[in-house]
This record gives sequence, C-alpha cells and structure tokens, in this order.
Amino acid sequence: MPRRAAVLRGRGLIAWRAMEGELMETAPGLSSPRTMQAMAGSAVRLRSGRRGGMTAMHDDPSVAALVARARDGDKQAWDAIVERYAPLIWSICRRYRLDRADTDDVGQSVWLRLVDQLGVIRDPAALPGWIATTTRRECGRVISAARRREVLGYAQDVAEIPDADPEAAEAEVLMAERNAALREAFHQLPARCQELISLLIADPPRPYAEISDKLGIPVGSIGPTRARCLNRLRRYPAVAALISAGAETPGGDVNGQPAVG
Amino acid sequence: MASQQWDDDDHLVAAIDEAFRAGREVPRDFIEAGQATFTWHNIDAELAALTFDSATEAAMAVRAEEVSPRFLSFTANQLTIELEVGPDEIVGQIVPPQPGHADACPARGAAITAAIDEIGCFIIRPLPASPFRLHFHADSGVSVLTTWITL
Repeated sequence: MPRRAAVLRGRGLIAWRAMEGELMETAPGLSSPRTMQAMAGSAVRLRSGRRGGMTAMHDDPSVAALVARARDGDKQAWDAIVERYAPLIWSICRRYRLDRADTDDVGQSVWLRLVDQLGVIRDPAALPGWIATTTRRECGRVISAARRREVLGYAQDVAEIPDADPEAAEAEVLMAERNAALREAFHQLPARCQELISLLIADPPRPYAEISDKLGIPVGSIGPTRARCLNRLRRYPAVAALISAGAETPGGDVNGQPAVG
Repeated sequence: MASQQWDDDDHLVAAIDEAFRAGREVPRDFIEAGQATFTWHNIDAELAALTFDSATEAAMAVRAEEVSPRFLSFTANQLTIELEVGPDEIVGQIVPPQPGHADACPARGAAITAAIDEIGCFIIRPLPASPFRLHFHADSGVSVLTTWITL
C-alpha cells in the first residue's frame, strides 16, 4: 500500500512539473485548492479581483518592463529583477529555517528555473507570486531530501510540510514588493535626499543638530526638506502604484488605528 | 486608512528603514549568484522535460540504501535521455541512439563532456556539481537540454 501511494504521489509530482510552465500563463484560472499552482493563482486573483484596488500593482509597469528587457537578453534588467526579489527568496528560506548552503541551493534553483521560463512568461506582474511559490516548493524539496538522508524509513513527503496559509503567503509577497519599491524609489532620489534619509534612519538615531551639521542645513529646514524628499519618493511609479492600490505600510495597523498625520 | 499611513512622513521613514533592514539581511554573494544564472538565458536547444525520477517515486517508503542508483528520464520531441546516477559516475543513454556527445553542465564551473557510443550510451565521470543539466549535441545538429538536475 505504501508503494502504491508512492507511485501515485510520484505521478502527481511529474504532473506538477509538466504544468509548471503554464503557471505564469494561466494562474488566475486554476481551481484545485490543494495544488500549489492554485495558491499562486489565488494570490493573483486576490490582487486583481477581490481587493479591486490591487490592480494598480498588478500592472506595475516596471516589473513587466524588466522582464521584457531580460527576455531580450538585457543582463542589467535581469540583475535588477534578482536584486528586487532575492530578499523575498531569502526571507522565505529563513522562515523554513534553512541553513546557508540550503538557502543557496534554493535560490539558485529558483533563478535557474526563471531564466528558463523568461521566454514564456505571459503575465510578468504575477512574477513575485511565482517566485514565492517556487521558493516554498524548493524549500520543501530541500527539507525532504535532508530528511531522506537522515532518517532511514519513512520520509516526509513535500506535500505534508505545512505551508503558509494563502493569506500569509500573499502578505509575504506584498511585503517584499513594498520593500523593493521603497528601496528602488530611495535610490532614485537626489543624493542630498538620500543622505538626509540615511541619517534619519541611522542606528543609533542621530540628533538633528548633528544632521544639520553634516548636511549644512539649519535644524529648522530638516523637517520641510524631509517632507519634500518623501513627496518625491511617493511619486516614484512603483511606490505610487502601491499607494493607489491601498497597500499597507509596515507597522500599518490592520485593526483600524489610523496613523497620526 | 492605508493611504493615511503613506501620507504620514514618520510612518514612511519607518517603512524605508524597514525596507533597508530586510535588504541588508541578504548577503551580497546570494544576490550575485542569482544574477550569474543569466548565462543560461537563450541557450539554443530544445528543452527535455523530466518524465521520471526514481527519487520521487521511492521517496515514500523505501530505505535510503535501496534508493541508489537513481534513475531519471527526460523526454524531448524526437528522443528520450535516460540517466542512471551511481555513486561516482552517471551512465546515460540516448533513445533512439544517435552519434554525438553529451555535456554535463553544472550551474557554475566547467562542463564534463562524454562521447556517445553506437548504442547511444555515454558515461559522465566524475559526478558533476549539483545542480547540473545535460546537454546532448547530435552530430546531425539536433541539440537537446534537460531541465536542472539536483543530485
């Protein structure tokens, strides 16, 4: 009976492999709730459907543009994609408590797979969800391979490893997108704005007098300068898309405590 | 509510701080390894998909000693590539047999090349670094590349 189950399970894995190329093309239409494709599909649906406002991010032009350029062989665009989403892979591996070697293994598998798929991506805006799903699956693979090595006997199947519930998975992807947008927007700011914000978020915090000294602006101008810089940052397309989509900022209180402003 | 948070300067500065904190956790060489995979873009070959892997078939109930060697099958339009992974070499076969050579290409590092004999067999020795993919070059010009193989 276990052997039969193993064979059936094996077939399932093969079917999943065969379908994986379709993920990016057809994600929103999938219906089986038990498959990982469906998880990715529901993430996409959430963005473009139930939370109507999310469509703005779904259409984020920069992800699509980067994918299109990378597909045409632009290495810089590929580097930017990796720069943007490597933290997402990293944080998922941390959650699965993988060590560094396994994390490297997972990261490499995800990127190698994406390189192969670049030519067939139909919906580049679904890319973060695909990366997250593929990363979780690779984490499962690494963990069950380690168990097979350690334990002689019954190995745990990938499917039995508890995955994040769909909402937590969605939140993970959204947070990574928000962080990436903010980092990119920051790097597009004028040098003086970058300097000021860096000092404002320095650890330990710098007193205004020191900031004033370093930047050569009066203490009284720090607040208004900061406001101008942040306004610029809010107008950066990826950030503007998040704002119009109604995405949460970190520390955003979902229970309805509005920020003072 | 959420837009108020984006409007609030203190909140936004805290969000930027958080974004950089998350970014700093990621080692530079982890990102660079991902960027280096782009060398695999647009390889001019047909992709052969994995259609059988004894490791996933046997994962459920078989003792680890019995799992070895591992068998893998990859299927392309005109041919299949069968691999048997032993402790220190890979024995492969192209079905139907055709003359050419096979390269085992690790993600990083040099490929290991093997000639293909008259019955389509070849031996890759030593084991390539994992992950790797097998690239079959037929003398006829046919070029087939497997998906990534993790040992």
